[in-house]
Amino acid sequence: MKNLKLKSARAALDLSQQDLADKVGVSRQTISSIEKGDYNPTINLCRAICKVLGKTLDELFGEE
Amino acid sequence: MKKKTLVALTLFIISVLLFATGIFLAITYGDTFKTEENSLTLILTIASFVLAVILLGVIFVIFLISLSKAAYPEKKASLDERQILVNGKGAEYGLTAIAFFAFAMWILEAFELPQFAQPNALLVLAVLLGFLVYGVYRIWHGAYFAVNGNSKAITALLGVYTVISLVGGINDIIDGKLVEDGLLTTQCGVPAAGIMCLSFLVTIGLKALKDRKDEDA
Repeated sequence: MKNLKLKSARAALDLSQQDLADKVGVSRQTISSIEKGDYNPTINLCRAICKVLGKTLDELFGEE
Repeated sequence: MKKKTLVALTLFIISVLLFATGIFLAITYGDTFKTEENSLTLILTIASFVLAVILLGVIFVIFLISLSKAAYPEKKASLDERQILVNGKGAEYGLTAIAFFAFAMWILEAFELPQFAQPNALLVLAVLLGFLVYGVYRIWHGAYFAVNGNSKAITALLGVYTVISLVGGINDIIDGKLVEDGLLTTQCGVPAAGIMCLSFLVTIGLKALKDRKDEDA
């Protein structure tokens, strides 16, 4: 399932996938895969993404 | 200008001058090389060409080392968690490809069908096939370039290996080293490695095109 919450949170901060990937320390394709729903990140990666985007785990990765 | 570039440029100018010296000596004294009094000139001519080739070789090695250092500035490649998983999957598919190839070769032998390569050559081809499948899978799923790697430098290095392998392979084909008694020899590994690297480059290009379409779509 696509993660539209992550995509909109990223867009709200005017960050490209590459920018977010650089800040989190992963590849751009990993961010893309997470947003498309092709990859489920580990809890550590989820927390790192939340920290960069200033959101909680539930706001970005909680069930809709 | 960087120190390495300056050194490379200086060596290149010296090698060009040496080549020019060799050509000048060959043209001026070429007719008299066989006579004793001009043997020193012959030695100088050959030495000029040899030194020029050696210096060009040194420049090439400096270039390769610089490219390798640029490819991984932090020396050790770092893959993210998804890339590690993709690598594992890719290795699985690569080994499966080798197993299928080995099975196919066994069928050829068991049913006394015509062989196309020597046993050692088959080993080389099997390993390269495994690497081909592994590499293409990793590239297509975005796990080839490490997070801390320089993708352009890595691609350039791959390009250099491709050219060297293909040129070496074409050379072997012209020299007739590739086939012996109707069977491929282990020398087939050189052009096969070139084809493998070329496949990687093509996949990298196609992946880059796909990523450009998918980016922030």
